[in-house]
Amino acid sequence: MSAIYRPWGPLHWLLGNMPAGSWSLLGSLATEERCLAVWTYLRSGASLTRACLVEVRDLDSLPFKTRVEQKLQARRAEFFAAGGGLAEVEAHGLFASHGEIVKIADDFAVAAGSNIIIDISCLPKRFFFPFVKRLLSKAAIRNVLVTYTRPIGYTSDELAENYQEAQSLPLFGGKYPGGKAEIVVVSVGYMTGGLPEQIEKYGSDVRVKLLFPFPPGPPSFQRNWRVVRLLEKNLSEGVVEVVPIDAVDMADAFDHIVCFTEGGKRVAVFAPYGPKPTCLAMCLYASATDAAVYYTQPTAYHPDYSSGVSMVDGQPEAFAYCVRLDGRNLYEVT
Amino acid sequence: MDAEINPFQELYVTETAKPEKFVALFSDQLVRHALPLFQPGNVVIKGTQGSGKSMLLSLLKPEMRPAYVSCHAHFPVPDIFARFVGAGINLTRSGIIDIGQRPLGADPAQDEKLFPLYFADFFNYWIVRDILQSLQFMADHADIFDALVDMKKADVFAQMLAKADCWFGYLASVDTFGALVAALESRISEYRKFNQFNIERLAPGIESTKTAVGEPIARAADCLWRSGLIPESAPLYVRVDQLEILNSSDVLRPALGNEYRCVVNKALSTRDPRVFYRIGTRNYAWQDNVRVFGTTASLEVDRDYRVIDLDDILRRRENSKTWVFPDFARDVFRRRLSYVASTVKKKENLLAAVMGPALKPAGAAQGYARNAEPHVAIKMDESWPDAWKSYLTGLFEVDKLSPILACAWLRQQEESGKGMAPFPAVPDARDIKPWERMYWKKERVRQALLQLAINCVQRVTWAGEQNILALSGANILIFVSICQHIWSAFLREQRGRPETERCNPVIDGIDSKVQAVGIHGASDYWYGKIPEQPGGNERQRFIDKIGPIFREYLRDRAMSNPGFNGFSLTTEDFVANASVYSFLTKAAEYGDLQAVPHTTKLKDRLQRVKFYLNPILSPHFQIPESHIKEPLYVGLHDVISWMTEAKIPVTDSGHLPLFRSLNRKGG
Repeated sequence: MSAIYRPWGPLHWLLGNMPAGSWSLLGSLATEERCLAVWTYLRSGASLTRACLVEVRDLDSLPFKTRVEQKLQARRAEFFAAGGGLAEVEAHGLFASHGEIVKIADDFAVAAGSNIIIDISCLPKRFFFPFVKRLLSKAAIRNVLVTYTRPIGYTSDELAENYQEAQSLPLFGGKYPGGKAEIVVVSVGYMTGGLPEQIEKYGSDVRVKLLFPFPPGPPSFQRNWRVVRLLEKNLSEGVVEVVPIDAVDMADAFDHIVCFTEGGKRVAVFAPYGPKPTCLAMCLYASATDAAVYYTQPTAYHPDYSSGVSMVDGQPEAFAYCVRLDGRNLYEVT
Repeated sequence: MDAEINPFQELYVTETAKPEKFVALFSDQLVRHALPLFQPGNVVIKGTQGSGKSMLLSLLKPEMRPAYVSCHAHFPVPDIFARFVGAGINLTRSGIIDIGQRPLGADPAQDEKLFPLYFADFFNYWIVRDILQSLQFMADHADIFDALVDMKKADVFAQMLAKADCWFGYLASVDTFGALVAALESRISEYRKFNQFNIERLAPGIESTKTAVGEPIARAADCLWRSGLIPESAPLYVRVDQLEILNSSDVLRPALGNEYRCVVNKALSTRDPRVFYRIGTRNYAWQDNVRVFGTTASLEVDRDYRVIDLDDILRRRENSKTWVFPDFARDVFRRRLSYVASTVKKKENLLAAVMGPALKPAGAAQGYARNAEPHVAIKMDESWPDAWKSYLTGLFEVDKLSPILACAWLRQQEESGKGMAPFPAVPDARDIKPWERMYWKKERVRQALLQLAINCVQRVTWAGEQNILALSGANILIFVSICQHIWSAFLREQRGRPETERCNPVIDGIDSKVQAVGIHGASDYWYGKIPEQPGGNERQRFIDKIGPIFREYLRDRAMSNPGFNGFSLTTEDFVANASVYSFLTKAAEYGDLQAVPHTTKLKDRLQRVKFYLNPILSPHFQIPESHIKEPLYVGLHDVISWMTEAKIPVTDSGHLPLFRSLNRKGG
């Protein structure tokens, strides 16, 4: 358990307790309704000075293409109708080069000021992982919040298709050449695309920690357990440990990871397939320790990946995590 | 045997396994078919996932040797070939493919030209460093490697190598082995830091000292021998793992991936007698690009490299006596069981002892129709004479299969007009029944069983050694997975029994019904795995389209086309449309379909290619896995129609410029 106080909670609460000031937002314009929730909230409170919304274009997929285009059109219309400007949206391919992705973050940082929010709700990991790492490397940025908005639900279909061979995420190749690992940390979600094979290839000498979203509500738990069953299926007994983690308690997930690695003494590699806040914990740990993060990137996401925006007391259920406060990184491994 | 242990639980046993486990579980059956791996010359070892190539390549790693010594086991490579130095690179894990993800300068066009040169440089530094690590490891285990490495010469070697002009002076200050290792690691680290955006730019010294692919590696071998660090009789083998990443990944720009592949090709093209490359790759990744970097020349099989095609080695031929896979599978099975229970070592064919023979057709039919009424199970036509109905009903009482075949034969007579007037006479007990003629029956017996199972609302089942081998499709990973599922079903069934009633599978065998449950589970598992490979969702949709089509054809009650569990295209149609060709070829190379060239029995005598589902998918789709008679002959438009309905993009592009033969021996 860390002695550092790491504030996180509802966005409106956290913002209300942060030092006064305005914020710049790096988020996304996507097919999902929730992508604009944080932008809309910040705009309504007049605390937003600048926004950069990245529209990430998947590779064409015949089953998804038309619907994706329709939903993107709808989202753009919603954004412009709410006062968004054309200059605030940048389109990039899902398989943009690392250089292109880093340039988005660098360009954003130049004009962002000292307070930034990275909304990861609808950003693919291929983008948000390097965004977080790169922006945390900028000393001029004094306060960093990462936000995540819950949807009402997810499609019951497969969430994505055509998975690539496992490769490290941009900027997360790790410091140990050759992919050495003692522990594989997996966040469990709904998708397994190619993941079991990657973990099985580490053999029986690694420990596998499955960060399991808990408590899950139906029908999520069935899909989560199905993934666990698949991952456990071909590994030796005793290798796998299922670790229940509150899906939005990013700080707890981070502490667990620090605990698994004995404060960074043991080499871990990461496979982020579960809830975004748990993936964010992996991202922060891997950024702090130069650990490798592997992912089997799908080429296209389901157009109805998620639906709606979960609301609590009339507000979008958006969680905010303070990862840097007044120049001090709150998620470090010492 | 321990009633709680599944010997097949761990599907993959890689070189990362504990040494005693690797030695115990690694089957050396394939080594004799892969001996070129341990002899001079470049070798490309190809195979689908699970064909066993990684296990074979791992024998080239020095880290594997102590495991054999500590387990008092003989290293499975013949002694005459066992004195070598092995090193290598894994293209995914090394981070080499991150080169090209970050701009080097302001001119993208110039960058595109430079990236392959940096790729080559990283490749050289990585492998030379790995050679040094291997040497150090071998020196540290001198007793195991028969003092092959004389580390007293290490500094002399380092000085010789550092002076070589291939480095363009980068290693000029190196004068010891340790300093050489440090300098190589520093350069690799510099690349990695740059690619991770941890530094602003590559150190200026790197740009002016880029090395030509393969040259420093060959020089290293040369210096090893001249310095006396290793004897000249010890060859240097360099593994290049996961080559497929260069042309199967959307993360790499396709043009760049192709150039990187050409760089690797260039290393092979020099045919340098000082270093021999071992390329491990899945099938689809090799033939698409054999161009040599910076030239218009291409690699040539047998001149620049030899091919070990594991799928080809393991595939069943006309003559089943030459089939390698069964002995391989039996050996793997025996090793798995022996590892968890040492008492089972002595039996020769444990697979047969545990799984038993495949159920005979009559027995399977009895199982499907045990509780069925004759009119439900046989489905006779209303119009048939009562004598026939009575005969078939009576026959059903003693033989559940024969009436189904008889009905099919009768329908064929009706369709051909032969039996319309008069209807054939009911055979006498002494007559040879036409539907029992050997070949006629042999070709239709699986279809008859399928129809009987459908009529009786039962699932077709698979069990027994032969069925397990057939469903494995000559893939050892699938075989282990089938065994894992069967054992799992067995353990579940046993747990419900009192201790005294539990079976020992090695002595009592595993009940065929339990096997059937496990095999269905394995089939569903492999069906579910299709989307886990690149492009897998499209292939799964295609298979979802054609699987039910085959099943529907096999429900034809006249059984006129018992081979319609596959389809055949003329080679002309196969290559006529680039997207169809590419899709079907990839499907075959990922192992979801099996493609076999064949000659038609039609008058046109055209060459054709037939495609079947991977046998392990047969239980999922409830169709026989065996390939008999002619498959369904289709035209290009049929395949395009299936692809379109499966939402797979089809372009109108015409003939492929070059037809790539499906004959895998061509490499």
